[in-house]
Amino acid sequence: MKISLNWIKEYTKIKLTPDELVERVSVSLTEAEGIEKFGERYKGIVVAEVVEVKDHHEADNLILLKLDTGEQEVQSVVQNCNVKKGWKVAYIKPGFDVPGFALAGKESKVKKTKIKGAESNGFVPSGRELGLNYDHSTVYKVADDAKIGQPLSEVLDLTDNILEVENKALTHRPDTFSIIGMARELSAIQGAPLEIPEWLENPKEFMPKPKSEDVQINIKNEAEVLCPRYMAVVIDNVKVGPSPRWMQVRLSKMGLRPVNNVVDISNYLMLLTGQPSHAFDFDRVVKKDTNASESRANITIRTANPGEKITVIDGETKTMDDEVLVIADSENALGVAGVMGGKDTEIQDDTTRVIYQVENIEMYNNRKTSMKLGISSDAVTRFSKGQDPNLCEPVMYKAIEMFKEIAGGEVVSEVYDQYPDPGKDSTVTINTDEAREWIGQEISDKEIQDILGRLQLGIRFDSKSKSLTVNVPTWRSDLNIKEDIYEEIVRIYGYDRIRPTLPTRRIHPVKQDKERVLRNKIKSILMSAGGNEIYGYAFVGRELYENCGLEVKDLHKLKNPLSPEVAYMRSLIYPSLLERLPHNLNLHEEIACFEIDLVNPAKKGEIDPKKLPDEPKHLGLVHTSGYYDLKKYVEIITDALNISEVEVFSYGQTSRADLPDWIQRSLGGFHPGRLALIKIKEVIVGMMGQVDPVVAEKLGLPEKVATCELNLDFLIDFELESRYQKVSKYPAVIQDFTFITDKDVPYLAIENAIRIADSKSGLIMEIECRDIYVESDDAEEKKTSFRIQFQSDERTLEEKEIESLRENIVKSVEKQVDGRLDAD
Amino acid sequence: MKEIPTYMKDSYKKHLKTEVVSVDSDDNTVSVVLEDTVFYPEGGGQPCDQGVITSKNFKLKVTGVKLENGEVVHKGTAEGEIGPGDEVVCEIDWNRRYKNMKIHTGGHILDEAMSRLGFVPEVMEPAKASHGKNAYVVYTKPEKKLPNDLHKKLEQKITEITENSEEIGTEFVKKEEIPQKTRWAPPNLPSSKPLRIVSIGDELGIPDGGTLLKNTSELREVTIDEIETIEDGMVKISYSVSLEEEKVEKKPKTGSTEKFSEVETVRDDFKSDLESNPSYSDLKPKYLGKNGLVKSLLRKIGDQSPDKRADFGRQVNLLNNEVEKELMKLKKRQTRARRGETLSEDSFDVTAPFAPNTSEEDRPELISRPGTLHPITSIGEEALRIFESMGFHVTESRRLDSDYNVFEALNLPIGHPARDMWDTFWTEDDLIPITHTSAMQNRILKNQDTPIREVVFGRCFRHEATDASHEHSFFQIEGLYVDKGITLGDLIGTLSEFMNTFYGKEIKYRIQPSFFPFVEPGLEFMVECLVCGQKGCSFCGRSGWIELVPCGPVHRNVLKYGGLDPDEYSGFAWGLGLDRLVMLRDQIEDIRHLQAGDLRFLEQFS
Repeated sequence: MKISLNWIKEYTKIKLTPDELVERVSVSLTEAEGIEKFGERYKGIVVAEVVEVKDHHEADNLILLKLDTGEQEVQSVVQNCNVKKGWKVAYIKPGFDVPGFALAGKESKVKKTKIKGAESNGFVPSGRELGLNYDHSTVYKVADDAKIGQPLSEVLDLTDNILEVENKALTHRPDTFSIIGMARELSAIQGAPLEIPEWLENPKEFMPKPKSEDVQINIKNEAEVLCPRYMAVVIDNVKVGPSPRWMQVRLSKMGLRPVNNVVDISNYLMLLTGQPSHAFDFDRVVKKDTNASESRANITIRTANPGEKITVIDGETKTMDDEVLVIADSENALGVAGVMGGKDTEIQDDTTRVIYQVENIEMYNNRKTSMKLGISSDAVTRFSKGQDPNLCEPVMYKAIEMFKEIAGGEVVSEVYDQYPDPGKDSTVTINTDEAREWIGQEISDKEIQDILGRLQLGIRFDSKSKSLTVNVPTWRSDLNIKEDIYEEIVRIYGYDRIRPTLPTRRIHPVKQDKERVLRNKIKSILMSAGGNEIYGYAFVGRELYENCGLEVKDLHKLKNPLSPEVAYMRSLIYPSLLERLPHNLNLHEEIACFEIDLVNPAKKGEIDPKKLPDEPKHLGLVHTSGYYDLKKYVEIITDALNISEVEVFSYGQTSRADLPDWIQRSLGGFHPGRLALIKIKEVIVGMMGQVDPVVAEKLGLPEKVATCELNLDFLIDFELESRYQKVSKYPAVIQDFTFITDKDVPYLAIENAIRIADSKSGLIMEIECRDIYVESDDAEEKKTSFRIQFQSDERTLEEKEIESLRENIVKSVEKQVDGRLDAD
Repeated sequence: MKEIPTYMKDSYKKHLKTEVVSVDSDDNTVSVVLEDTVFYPEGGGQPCDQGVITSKNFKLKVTGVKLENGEVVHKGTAEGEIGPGDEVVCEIDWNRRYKNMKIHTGGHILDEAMSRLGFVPEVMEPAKASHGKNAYVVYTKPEKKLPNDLHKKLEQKITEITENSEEIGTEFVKKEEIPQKTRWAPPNLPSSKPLRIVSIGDELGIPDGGTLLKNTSELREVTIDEIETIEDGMVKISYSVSLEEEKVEKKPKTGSTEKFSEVETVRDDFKSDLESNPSYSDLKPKYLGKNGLVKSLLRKIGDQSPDKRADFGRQVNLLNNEVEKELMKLKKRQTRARRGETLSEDSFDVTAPFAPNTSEEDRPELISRPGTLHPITSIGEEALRIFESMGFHVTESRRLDSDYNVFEALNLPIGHPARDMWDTFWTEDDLIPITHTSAMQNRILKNQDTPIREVVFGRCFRHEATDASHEHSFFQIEGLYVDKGITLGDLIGTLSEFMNTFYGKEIKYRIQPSFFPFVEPGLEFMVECLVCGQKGCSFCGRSGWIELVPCGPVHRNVLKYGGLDPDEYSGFAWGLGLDRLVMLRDQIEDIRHLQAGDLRFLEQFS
């Protein structure tokens, strides 16, 4: 939001330097982005007089101006227009910018040049090229009494500091969207006197008598909740034309473009007070309304009929529903109330009679309408914050006055005012002791009263009870509760003066969250094993899932995704990991990447609005060197968590129907023959396997890449299992075995057969696989070699004991997997 | 000028509000360049759009649109005045556009059919095309002789594509990606701009900048008019498309619904065969083979009495199409199943520690180079541990949450204008990927005993375009302290102590008023910019201060919603931006690095 400080100065002093002002506004009101020196845009522009107007011999659409710039006489080429000898015009010297072009971000330096053969020295701009109005039909004419050679910025009050503030944090402060509101704030912040004009405080006393009441408006407000106040008047004899230069300049400084005097009056008053208003062309309103006459218009404030259409001023046609508030005649909508007027009844050059309306609009519906119809406007910016209904009257008065002064208009109707439930001041009572306690700072009663006074809030203070009652005017509707008053005190007092303290608290031990402990443990295990942690988006796209052989149809889908790649909530981590792997492949010979995150599993049927869906925590892991390398990483996790009951079995051995739903939905990316399921304590907690070759090809990955997905929620209780084992003081005995089995017997089955043999004695300390050997691809048998360590923590093992154990193992392997000891 | 104009992104967008970049006029023609446009400029064999560009005081009837020096220039006759920076609405003549789109899409389907038949780019390549009144595609001289029945094959393939309702997709890619993402691309593509590729169904696409239909089914018919060999042995395929609006179901004429028992018998046989789990290689000859049941019926059309011939022919042809379609599906299914079988046979022992015959040095080992934790983890944990040491209990936030928790219980009733401050994603079930970790506040207030000292970390999401300092996904550390007698000074002290401990030195801070409805007052806790030492740099927006922690005393309504008496309890809450904290500490210039998964970035944080 841009604020002209020259304009502010009509109501309060600016005591601070620009830098100080930016700083103080930032810490007491909202972030100030800086100060623009508006006059800088107009450097090198002076008043010149047209001495002669000549034709350009080469081009009909151009003319030559001979100018007296005060320093010299120069020739400049301009578009053919109505410029006359003797006009005072703006003249941009060579080497300076054309402000309108510079604002549009275009190359704008004026050069001494030749245009179609004629010398052009300097530039004579139009109003649009100066960035001061819309007019491009002729050169910008300056007042006749301007001195030749005088800088334009002096003639037009262009030397101004424009304060730019962030208005996002002012959502609750509708009053600050105006010069008056900002003047109040700056007065309070600086402790400078404030002069609010009388007409704003007591408009009734100023309201003029209408010249006549020949014309009537039949107003029907059918939506008083959405439009709590409606004022309107008919003004006749309006001469539409450009508004005065001073007004154009003020609008331009605040970032608004002058249009014509009628529209500009409305915009000017909105900038000054925060109250939007709108002018309809009376004759265009009554022409279309079959129930209206030359002297009687109908205005109905109602909600739109579903499907009702309106073309608004910016040219777009909108279809409305029955929540949209419209200003209508007896039949059709004339405008979207508080949002934008209609095209059909817009002020035009031939307009003479105007219905001028000043209304108050309910904020929630205003915002909703703006979003629904996709129209934003300066009116919406203000109404959607909740404007003060008591502003309507002074604005109506001031507008009537300005219509007369600027456009020659006369009031020819009653000044209508429908305001069934007038807003009144309210009060909030605080206790200054409580305020000090809440703030945590000794601010004296006097200082508190002084601050609230500076903010134009009336107060009653009882020094005995410390009770302070604040009178809240209607323009400060944001002050409702005690804390609102505390905020007023402290922001003007200065947050920087608050002494930082720490809460006094009873000592208490902080319990660690188990999930976080588990997650950090797994992360640190993987990191110490060379793993790289990655964070991917929680959003995924259909393409990625389909490339991974997975379906998106039951995933939580966003209604408003930013793009198709981020349109669904991910149910698995591994697709994201695979997706990000290709561009890292060249960095290292082997890479292990992982991520731990919440996931949002596919939905099963309808979502129960009362019960939010589960969000299990998953680990995803990829390894570029292949399945067995990946498996080692999964093992170090289960080892470190001391999970003994891990069972790994091949996907080929299971029936798909026996798998948990989430596992069934997750298998798409895996090679079906090289996929293992991981079971812990009878629950399948995840899977690991080599990536499906088709998936690998689609994603640009080497075929051997392997990946894994684990649901960590099932692991949460395991890290607590005791892991200490007594160190035996008796020697260990090491024995080697090689078993021959059918090639298809899983390794784990053989290892389990060995363990079963020892289940009673418990003497096997460690089983290590030394080798797995097959003679050739079509061999039917394989040899698996083990090194087994026997040890007792009670005694030294005897040879006989070991021999018997050895026999048991051989027998068990024979029985369980039909294997035999290799004789070699 | 936008890098990618709207007409390239959305062929169905009919109008657009934008700004004038430049205006030029000579004689009667006015030329306008816009910031963005829905007008397709002439090119790629496709005619340009026509329409109007209007503003309050201006109307340009656009009769020609050209690409000049990379800019889309709209030419035509104008009324009124317009200048750079003015807002305008441009609107295309939709009927003309839709017609052009159809013809253009027809050309793509033709080329797609040629590709699926194995002719393009294997035997010949596209050379030029026109998608105007006389539409055609010209291919380079074929490297081997084209079959005599190309015309028929091509039409069949085209019908298959249109009847399959295949999606026509577009994607913007970099020049380097062209070889992997296209089946064919012309040489000399520009590398300065993102290139658009167009693909049909699941196939690889080709580069193209024109306007296209979304789905092949929108085209009722593409007819091959002529295939001829022209100069230099090139082959010109002329085509036309049906321009009728609605896709009309082909129905037999009324009054001729008589069924032919011969046809119905074959249909019934086919259906029961399909149910008996057949193999494609058995079924195809049975029905579509030279002497197959359907083909025999086709031959019988001529034998019918003249009054029945047309109906019989139509029904047999319908059956023929049905059978072809079903068999195609069966073939696809079986190829897939066979692939599964082959892969299952290609299995290994997943329970073993390594593959058979792996030598000792090749056995799996852990990677020896040091691994890395993501800075969000490592630095986040550092921050969390400091809060723990200050007495806060730490948990993780939910991800999808209800409107009640994200907004309502935080004093943001439905329709509250301040909701605009959070650009919110919604799922189809009206859940919200949380916009802030404050969504956990209500649960904490309800479920925990006072004093409440809780820290919640988690991912948050905002619907906003990404750039160097904005991400749609980011990380927050929420704090909530509620007890009797908590002061504003306590909030400032807690955050200030945290910063001093985290950065290991005294950090300058500043409090700026802001507005968040769940705290009163809403504050922004800012810290000195450690990148530039407050001299002003791009990181702090030249202000010397970084907005790091939005915070404030908990609003009494939030306490009430949480079941606490606001006159008895008070407290404060904050939402620390973890990404910023990390970026500030390590002077990371672009927030997008954090979730890009690039090891060159991540490995610096060991």
